[in-house]
Amino acid sequence: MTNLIRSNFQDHPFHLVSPSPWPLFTSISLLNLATSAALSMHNFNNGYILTILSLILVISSMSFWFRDVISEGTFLGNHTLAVQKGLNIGIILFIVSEALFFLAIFWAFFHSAMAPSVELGGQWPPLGIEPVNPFELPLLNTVILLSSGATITYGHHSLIHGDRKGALYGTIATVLLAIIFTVFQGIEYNVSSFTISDGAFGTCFFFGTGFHGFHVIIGTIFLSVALWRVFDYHLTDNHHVGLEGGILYWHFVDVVWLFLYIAVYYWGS
Amino acid sequence: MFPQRQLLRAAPRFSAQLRAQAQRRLASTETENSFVRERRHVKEHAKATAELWRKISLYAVPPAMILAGINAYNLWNEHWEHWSHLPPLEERVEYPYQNIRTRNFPWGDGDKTLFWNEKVNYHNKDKAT
Amino acid sequence: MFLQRSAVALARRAAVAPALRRTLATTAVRRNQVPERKFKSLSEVKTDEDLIGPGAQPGTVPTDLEQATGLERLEILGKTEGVDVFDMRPLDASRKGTLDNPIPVRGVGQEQYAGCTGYPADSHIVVWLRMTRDDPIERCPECGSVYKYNYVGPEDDGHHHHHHVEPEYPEPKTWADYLKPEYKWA
Repeated sequence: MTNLIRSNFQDHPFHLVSPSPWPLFTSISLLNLATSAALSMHNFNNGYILTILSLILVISSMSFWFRDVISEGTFLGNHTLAVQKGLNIGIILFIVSEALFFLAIFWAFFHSAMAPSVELGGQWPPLGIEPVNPFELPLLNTVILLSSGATITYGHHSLIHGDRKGALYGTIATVLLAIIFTVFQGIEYNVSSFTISDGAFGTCFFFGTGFHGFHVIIGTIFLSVALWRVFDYHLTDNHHVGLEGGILYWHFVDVVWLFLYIAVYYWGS
Repeated sequence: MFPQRQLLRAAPRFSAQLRAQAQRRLASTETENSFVRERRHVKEHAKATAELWRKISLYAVPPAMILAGINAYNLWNEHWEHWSHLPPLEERVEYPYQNIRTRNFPWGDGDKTLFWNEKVNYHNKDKAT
Repeated sequence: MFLQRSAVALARRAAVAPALRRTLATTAVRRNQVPERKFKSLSEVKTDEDLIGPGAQPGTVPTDLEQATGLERLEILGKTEGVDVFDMRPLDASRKGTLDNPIPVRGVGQEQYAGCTGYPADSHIVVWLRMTRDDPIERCPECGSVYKYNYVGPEDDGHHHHHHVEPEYPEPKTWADYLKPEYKWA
């Protein structure tokens, strides 16, 4: 290749993104969501309708935006190694911020649990509250999450090795385990004898496990999109930033669960 | 299209790379550069690790899940057996920190939390304590 | 535009229900007979349209060489053949550029910016210097290092007539214009 031909292509490896409506759409949708959620929580008439509409808007904006990112990465070849590195750093920073979010939740829990106030009877769990038995469904859920870590590693390494079937089986097993986990958490919530309104105990428990469950659902969607992209031949053996991001996120959710299990379910009961 | 002069103008660094490539090709077809070698190593390494994790997924995961499932099933039954011997929900003491309501929930009759289950949850509205 | 269309078409072709064909016992034999599909090497790439691979065989995981497109493909092709197509290395900072022996700055545009951090590197904050094809020499006002634009792009714009781009406004005159031209970089 001569310099003359080289000058037909971009000189640097970075992706100068083209104009896109999605950042603006996402911002406005998020503003709507925050506003309407606040209205709903203060019992404004029909506030929840606005909240649901905003949620649909947020999800649509994200879908369109990620669709464009997939086009740029898979079909247009804009994701050079330098761009892939940037995306990976972005995912890692996002996960760090999520970790700090959960740190705050754990802080709130330990603040109440390590020195229960007089109003709670000075003990944890407070009198009259029957906590969840950590060796029942929570232990099973721990096993499920740890297993899903094994199956996703199988899927990932199979993809790197070039084994399409292994990649598909591993990822499908992981998504199934993730869904089973969510179902068991739903059962657990349904038969729990205390609610989110039962003092600091109920609040801290459902604050922590609820946000964890929310992240499990996000991680399940993340991995499902990656699964679809393996199935549709988007992901190559070396270039699969989306799957790697999903895996990293899934391991993070897994680790948060281990902390929750030890601190909230076991020690906190 | 490509005059001789144009080709000669190639910058030293870039053309040196191209030249080096040509020489390497002539010297040996087996020599691969570090990029190709690294990718090949990653791919070969993944074969063993994928096999290891396949075995774990197939032979360690199902037994662990069955054991944890049996355990959870037994404890679940024990729990409901124990529950059936407890006094009915209406007669249990409800402490001031339980069922805190500052305003109505925006759904249902405004008194029930999400995941409210009539069988295990009860709100005593005129609690004594 | 063309690249976009063909890339989508390629992905479609690759995605058509592949698994069925591979359930036969003769699959392994048949697969070995399939000739290796050709793709253009770096030296054969001329335009965007050459930067497209053959796509993966049904039932396999695609490799970057089979499937990468666009700039990513250019980079992968280069790396595979040992050519650093982006050349992100910093400018030569092993010496201070002089008028007799300036530091060359490679580029393909009408103008090129270079950031000087002095000699040795990082001895002062970045000073951005602008060089053009018509006025290729620039001197860092901080440390005095001289840079020269080394244009390696196309000789003309492809229309076989030389055309000189007139600046939007004339360069302001300096004292060099009244005394000696070489004082411009003094």
